[in-house]
Amino acid sequence: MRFHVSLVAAFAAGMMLLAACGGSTSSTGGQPVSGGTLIVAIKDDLKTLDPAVAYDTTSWSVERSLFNGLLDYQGSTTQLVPDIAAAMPDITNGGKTYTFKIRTGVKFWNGREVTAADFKYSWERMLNPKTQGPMTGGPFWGSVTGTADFYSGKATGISGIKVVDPNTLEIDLDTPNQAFLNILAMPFGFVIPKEAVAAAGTDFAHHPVGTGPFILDKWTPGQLIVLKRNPNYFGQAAYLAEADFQIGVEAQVGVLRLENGQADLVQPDTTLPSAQYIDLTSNPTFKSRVLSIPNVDVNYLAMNVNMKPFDNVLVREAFNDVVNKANLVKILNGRAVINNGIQAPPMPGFVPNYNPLGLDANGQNITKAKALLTQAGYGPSNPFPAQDLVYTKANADSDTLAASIQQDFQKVGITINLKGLAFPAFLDVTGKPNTTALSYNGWFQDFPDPSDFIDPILTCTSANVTANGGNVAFYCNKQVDALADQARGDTNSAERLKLYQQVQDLVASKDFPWVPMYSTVFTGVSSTRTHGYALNPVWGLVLKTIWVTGGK
Amino acid sequence: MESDSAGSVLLLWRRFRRERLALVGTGFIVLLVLLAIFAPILPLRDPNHGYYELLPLDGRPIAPGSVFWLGSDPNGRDMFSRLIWGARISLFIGFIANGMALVVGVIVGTVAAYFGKWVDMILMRFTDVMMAFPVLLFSIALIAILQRGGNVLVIAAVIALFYWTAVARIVRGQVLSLKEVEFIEAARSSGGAPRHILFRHILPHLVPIIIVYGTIGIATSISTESILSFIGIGVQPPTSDWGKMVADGQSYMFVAPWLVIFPGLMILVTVLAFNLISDGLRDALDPRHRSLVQRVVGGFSTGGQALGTSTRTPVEAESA
Repeated sequence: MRFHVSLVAAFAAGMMLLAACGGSTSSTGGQPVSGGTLIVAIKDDLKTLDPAVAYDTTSWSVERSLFNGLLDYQGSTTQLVPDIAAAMPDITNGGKTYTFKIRTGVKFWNGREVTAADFKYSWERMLNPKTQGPMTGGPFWGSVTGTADFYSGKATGISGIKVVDPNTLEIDLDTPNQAFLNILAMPFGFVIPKEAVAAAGTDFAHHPVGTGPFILDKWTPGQLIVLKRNPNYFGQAAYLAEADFQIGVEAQVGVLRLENGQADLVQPDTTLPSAQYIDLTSNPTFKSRVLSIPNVDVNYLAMNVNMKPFDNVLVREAFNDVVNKANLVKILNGRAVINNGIQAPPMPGFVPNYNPLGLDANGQNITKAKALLTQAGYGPSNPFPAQDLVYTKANADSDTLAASIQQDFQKVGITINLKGLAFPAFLDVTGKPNTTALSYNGWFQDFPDPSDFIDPILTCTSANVTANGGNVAFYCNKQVDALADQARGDTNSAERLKLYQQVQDLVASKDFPWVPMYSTVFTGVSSTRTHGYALNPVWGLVLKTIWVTGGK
Repeated sequence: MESDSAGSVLLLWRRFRRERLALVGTGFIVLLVLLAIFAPILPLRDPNHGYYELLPLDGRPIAPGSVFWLGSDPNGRDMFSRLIWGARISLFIGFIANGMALVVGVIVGTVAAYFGKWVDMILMRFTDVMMAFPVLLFSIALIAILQRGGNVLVIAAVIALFYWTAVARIVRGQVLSLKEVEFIEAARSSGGAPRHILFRHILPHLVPIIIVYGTIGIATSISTESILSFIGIGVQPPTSDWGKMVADGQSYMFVAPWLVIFPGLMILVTVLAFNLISDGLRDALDPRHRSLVQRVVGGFSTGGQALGTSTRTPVEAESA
């Protein structure tokens, strides 16, 4: 997903990488204690807690504690295990039919038991164009039979989602998708009760009802969100009695409060800003409490291939030779690695030391860049037009990073003007066609599968949107789509990974819609009285494993 | 009495010279202005260039030392150089904004007071309305609407837009009392055109007020400009002025305090210096030393015969 915060992704391999990094993933210590209130300091208010609509890391981390789906990731791994499903599904019909048995005794907060019909209702609502959720018409659920007719209004339901009996759910796909279980495990697949949606009118977003280990007790917009333990949770009960999300707290203030024992977590869905990371690692008490884990993300400049001057592939290739990526890593305190491709290091199929353009250790080749620009027709008589670099200020270090890139382009005589925007405005102008020519983006995994780094952001289907697009370069190469389609259902994983590597070659050494720059390492910190806090590969925050000692 | 403007300026200077604090302030401002003017030819590093190669691997800004006298920012830019170049912008906007405010304020105040009646009423109500606006909020809105965030003239104009009102009020009060003075009435009844009277007789009396409020005004303009930059609607990156430097540095306050301390000190000391100068000027023009005031005012207007000997000047009444 588009991010202003990092989600963490680590596979078993990632855990090993961790040991190499010298950081730890979880804070341990003693026996869990029941009770207490966790104080979480966050900067921006949540826009929505409607799982059909929310598509950002902050909302997802809170949703994780309020709702459940068929499957979940086990502990801090990327291994899928049944959640509301009684067992892993039967997959038949060449990978096109998934049959789930639903557990009995799972209750919504209002006391009613969950049935298969609730899943059909939740998903149809989620994909209904009227709900205006980001999954409608998108690649993830697109292979479910009957979605096309549902979107166009020809059908009132999705034929591929079948309620066989109150405890059995069947899903039919037109074509197999190896990542479909991961897709089901996304928050968009969470189950909600129909009557709560009706009762909330148009504001289910602020009055959600779920099945989760915590209940939304209070939400004062702009100020406070209070979660309270759900005593009737079907799974293992949470330790914490309460979690308070204090809104409007800047990272710097949050860290100060944490150091003084007035907050327990600071923006847990965002990596620590550079200044705060330096502050905490200089503090002997907190240095060991800073956790880190490699991220499954790619950070890149996107060039809109439909807008001048980026409709010229020579210009796009030239831009790939200019950015000093080593400086960006430095600005991030070394919590990043240079990445010249479109895949993240912990992802299977990642090609190590991928450098198709033969860039130097800084990721540059200024001579080549100048030659390409001349070849493209730019020179003293035809100077390259000044460009606005659009980025989001939601990340505290974004100004520093953007300034570094601005200086890099001076070396080839190109003026870059910095345009920092708040995150919603940024998503808006970059997601609209023919609006933004050059933008600074980050994409992190929705789920740990390579298809997530291609289908929503580099295919022709994803380029063909009118708003909120993920393919901000509006790149479209039919070859890429063909390879992606072929790979999606391929059960031979070695072959599948090769196909994704071919896509990477097309994008990063031939078409250049992006300037890939780096992948990050996620860091987080907790207060001295917090235990069981672990950086999660997929979710920003898992509350149910946390406990506090000496709690209030 | 012959015009002796040179003599009275000398007298003013001699009086001013005795104001120790004001001299310190003046010295500082003169030094600052010289540094700002000659910044391009001084052996300073490019203030906008980031020396990333000098930063350590963990990206920690460099502390003040032999390489960077006042340290570096997270982009590896030289703070000392940025402070001096920032002075150019802060001072320039301060002077321009203040100048604009003075010009508009003097015109409005004088015209309102001199012509009186409905001219006065309209102009003063308009001034009241402008005074009632929340300055910062409106500056933000205006600059956003004009979409010229980086343009120094626009920023100066926006600051001036709200500060001319104070000048207008003071000037109006001055001119009102001047109007009643005999020599003015004499000039009027002898058929002097309004413009002649304004320029020849009234404006010169306003000079002391303008000097004093002008100096204070620069301080206010500079501090307002710092606030605008701090909240992000002043100059655009990579250009930087003191207010923006404080804003950029604040998240590093515990890790790299020099990022905040030095620009903050510059704003503080500059504003303080102008305040001291203004105080000194006001004391130097102290009406208790009647002959000096008369000589100064008389010296500024040509053919000041009417001020001859014993007429109490309105300046005394106003600033007593």
